[in-house]
Amino acid sequence: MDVLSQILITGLTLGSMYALASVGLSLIYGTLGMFNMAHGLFMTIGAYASYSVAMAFGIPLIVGILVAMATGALIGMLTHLLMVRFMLGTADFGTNILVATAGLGILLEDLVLKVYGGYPYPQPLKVEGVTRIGNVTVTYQALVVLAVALVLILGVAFLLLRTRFGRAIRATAMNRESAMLMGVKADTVFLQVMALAGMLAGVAGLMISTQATLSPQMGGDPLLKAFVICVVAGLGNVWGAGLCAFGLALIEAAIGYYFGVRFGFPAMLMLVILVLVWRPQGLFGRETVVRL
Amino acid sequence: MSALLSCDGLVSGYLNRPVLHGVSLTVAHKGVLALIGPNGHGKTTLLRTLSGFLRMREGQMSFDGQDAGGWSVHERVRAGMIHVPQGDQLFAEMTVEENLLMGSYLCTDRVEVARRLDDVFALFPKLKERRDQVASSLSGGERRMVGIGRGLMADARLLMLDEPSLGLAPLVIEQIYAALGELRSRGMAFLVIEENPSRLLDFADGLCLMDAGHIVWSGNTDEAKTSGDILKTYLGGH
Repeated sequence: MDVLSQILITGLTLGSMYALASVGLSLIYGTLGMFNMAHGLFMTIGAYASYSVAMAFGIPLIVGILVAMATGALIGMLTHLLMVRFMLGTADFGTNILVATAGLGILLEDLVLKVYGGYPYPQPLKVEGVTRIGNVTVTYQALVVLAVALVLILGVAFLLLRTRFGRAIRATAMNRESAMLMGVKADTVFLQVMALAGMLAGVAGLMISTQATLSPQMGGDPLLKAFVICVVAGLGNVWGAGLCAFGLALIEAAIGYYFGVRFGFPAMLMLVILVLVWRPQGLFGRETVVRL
Repeated sequence: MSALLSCDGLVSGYLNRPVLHGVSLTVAHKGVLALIGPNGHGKTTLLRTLSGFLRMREGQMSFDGQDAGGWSVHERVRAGMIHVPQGDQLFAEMTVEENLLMGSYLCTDRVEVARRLDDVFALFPKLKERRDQVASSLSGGERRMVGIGRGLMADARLLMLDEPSLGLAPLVIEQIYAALGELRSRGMAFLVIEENPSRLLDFADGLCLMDAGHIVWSGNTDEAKTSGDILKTYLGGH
């Protein structure tokens, strides 16, 4: 029983961070049809921005979260306005943007390295202390991570499913030309999606840095895992990505407990290979059927 | 009677290959113009140019007396030029109601949106039964109704329909055209594309025949009925 709750708590905390990272990645892929290789750096910059503001002004965690959100959204919007916008609709967009965002990621990582140095800092923005659930020790910060992820993901779900704004995003993702025929400005939708995904990435970065440390490379591992999650869920399937984030995190936590933490990620990669052999379109992906 | 839509000497196409070589046509206020012609001769290209997806390379175009040649897709929709594309192009994973609500995207007045939704449900009662069903699970006729209904939700002044009878059973085509006739009697203007003119002879006022990017014949439907030779030459006997 204690083992189970330990695995559950570790898995849910991990899953919250993965979900924040992969929901945004999936949203971008679904709407713009691009892999955002710079997504990991959106996380890193979100974490560093809130670190800097915290060091300068000693803000509470809640303000730190807002800073991370704002920074992430800003960097997402800038990426769209300065780069993606000019490449959309050109030949081989999918491949070119992959390379371009990977380049942006390297550039941003070097900038972070230049400004902050390579020394890993502890994140000052976190809640100290522990509580016990049954016989299992849980840090307050883990509960904060879980709560923040739940609030944000439910918020995004509400936005996408229940508002006119979200309906336009979904319509653009399903059929860009049709959405434009309804009067939707696709360019504005793309900008909003980049802002939304960047915002989630910024918070993900802050949350990850509270569980580990700040370093210029901190975004690499979560980016890889977010990609794995998006592929397993089915590319561009936002709900699937949210669910798979928690599912895979629980599996990773279980394997980490029974076999050792170093087997967690390899096991995830094995699982991806199996899923892709068995269901190439992903667990929640649909085979595309073309009808007249 | 002044024209709602008129274009003159319109040239457009894909990459460096022009498809339309100077097309001129006029749709009157409350008028119905039918554009017919065989496959692959530029009918859909013309609609895509009119709705702003394809750049007009030469020529002029005006909508309700205003020069519309430079308008974006968004501005054309706002003005009431509504293009219902070939094959419906519904939002497949949305419900019927969500699809219809997307049609009224530019209208932020909830009361007005609800009124338009009631209008569409009155015209196509079947859609009301299916309002919570996902669009990809509908039959061909129902999908067409959603496509047209979605156009109506935008408060269309001119409905540009690309082959509204495509792929439907004759009985369903009757239903669709009955609904279009109802809209017509309320004063809606239409530009309708079909390959087969037989439905349109009773529905349209004017008829244009398109061949290889040119309008090769135009006249009113009575003239078309009497001078059947031209239609037969291009489209085979009926």
